[in-house]
Amino acid sequence: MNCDRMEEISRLIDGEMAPAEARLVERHLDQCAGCRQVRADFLTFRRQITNYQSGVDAVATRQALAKVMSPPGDSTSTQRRANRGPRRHFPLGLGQIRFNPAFVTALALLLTGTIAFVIYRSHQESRPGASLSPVGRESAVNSSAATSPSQSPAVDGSSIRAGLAEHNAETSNRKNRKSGSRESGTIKRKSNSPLGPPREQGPPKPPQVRNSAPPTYARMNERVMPGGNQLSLAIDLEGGNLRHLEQSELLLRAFRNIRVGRKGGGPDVSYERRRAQQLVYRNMLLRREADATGNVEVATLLGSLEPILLDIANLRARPRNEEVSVIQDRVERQSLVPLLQVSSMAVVRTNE
Amino acid sequence: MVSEDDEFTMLFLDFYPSLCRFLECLLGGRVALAHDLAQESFLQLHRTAWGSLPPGEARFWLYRVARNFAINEFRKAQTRHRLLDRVVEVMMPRRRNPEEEYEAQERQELVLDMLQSLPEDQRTALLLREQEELSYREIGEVMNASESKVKVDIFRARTALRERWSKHSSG
Repeated sequence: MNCDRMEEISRLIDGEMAPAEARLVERHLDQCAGCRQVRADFLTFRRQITNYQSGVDAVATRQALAKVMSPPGDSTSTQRRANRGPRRHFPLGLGQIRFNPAFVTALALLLTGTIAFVIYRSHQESRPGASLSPVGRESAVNSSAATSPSQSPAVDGSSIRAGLAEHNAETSNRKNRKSGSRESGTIKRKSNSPLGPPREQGPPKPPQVRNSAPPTYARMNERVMPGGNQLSLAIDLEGGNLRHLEQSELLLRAFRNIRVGRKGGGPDVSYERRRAQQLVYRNMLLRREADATGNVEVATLLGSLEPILLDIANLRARPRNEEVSVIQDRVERQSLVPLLQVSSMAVVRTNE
Repeated sequence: MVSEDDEFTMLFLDFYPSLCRFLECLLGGRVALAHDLAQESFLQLHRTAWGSLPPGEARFWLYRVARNFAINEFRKAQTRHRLLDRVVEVMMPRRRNPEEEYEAQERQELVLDMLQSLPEDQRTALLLREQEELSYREIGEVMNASESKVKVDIFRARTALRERWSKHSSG
């Protein structure tokens, strides 16, 4: 065969050819026995490959599904991977912890912070009242309710270090609280954030009295220092954000799954509408907080979420199909659901 | 409303068998390994990417990851099956006889052997085209390659198979 049209025939049988060109090749095939044989051979190969039967049946598929969907700690799903994959698992008695560079880094940071805190505490004990004047502490307490960093007092290097140490100690304390241990005399994180319910489990502290007697060391521990205040606020913001992001993601998923297209009567969106009305106010608060604290990513995400929440909140209980579809399209177009999921995962990892 | 897990289950039931078939052919009939890699791909999807992928993207993601797993296996083994002498038999007209089932099994093995004679990228492109009926653009997305490369890969794969078949037929 001297036609040299095999490449065209290959594209023709794959349907990857413009109609006009395909007509030309088809016309040629009518006249050329060699090219017809090529096409027949290609189609024979196709049939052979397509007819290949996999060894997997319905039962095996279900078993594999169960294996894939099993929790991460389940030995049936992880044993094989642990044996041959690049991941490392270290049996620690209480289950298996996956080797994760981020986890190790966080652990190292935590240890460094704890050591810094211990050094700071011993330094403070040897020089009482050296790093902060009562005025500085009072202004720090006052600024805890402020939303703008520009309103907070100037912070020198030592207080930033102190704040960092306090933040790390606070993180450590929070982990301890999670595991059920309670320690007295540790620094309490401020729980008066409007961004969510307080996470403290102990009895409520009595309100602090300002401009009282010079604070003792024990009372200093109960106060919030300038640098530590900002960091604590950031953690509160993240906690509030996490809940909000998860709830918003659930709402958008539910809204995205609303079936439209039925003739006569729009879908019932009363649940989604009510949920959006609840979330939109918190979204505004969190967005402003994020703006004020310079958390650009969170502010941007919440900023794009807000009009969607507003639109859902303003829907009628029985909106027209088009009204729902328009919002669903916007949710899809802006990829809000995956963005929310990724963001909440990022916050979870940060908190961990 | 369909929950996230339900969506994943539907996706799994839709694509797990075809992903297994794709991997079996890609790996030259190493069934157990193919199923392991298929499960590993779905596991990765479930634990890392599920929910963050745009709609309709999960299928391509799965094939891309599965192919990467398979390539890792190739690198480990550093072996490529050679075309067996029985290639010609698979393309001979089917003979009706009582042992048809046995022949079907034989033919299946020969298809695998023939595919194994191709370079990996040509084999992947051809399998995705013939078994999964993906377009050239979609195959390019899976393989991270241009459409023109996919076109050439598929064409070369077909030509190579045909030439070998002719050689054995004449020999």
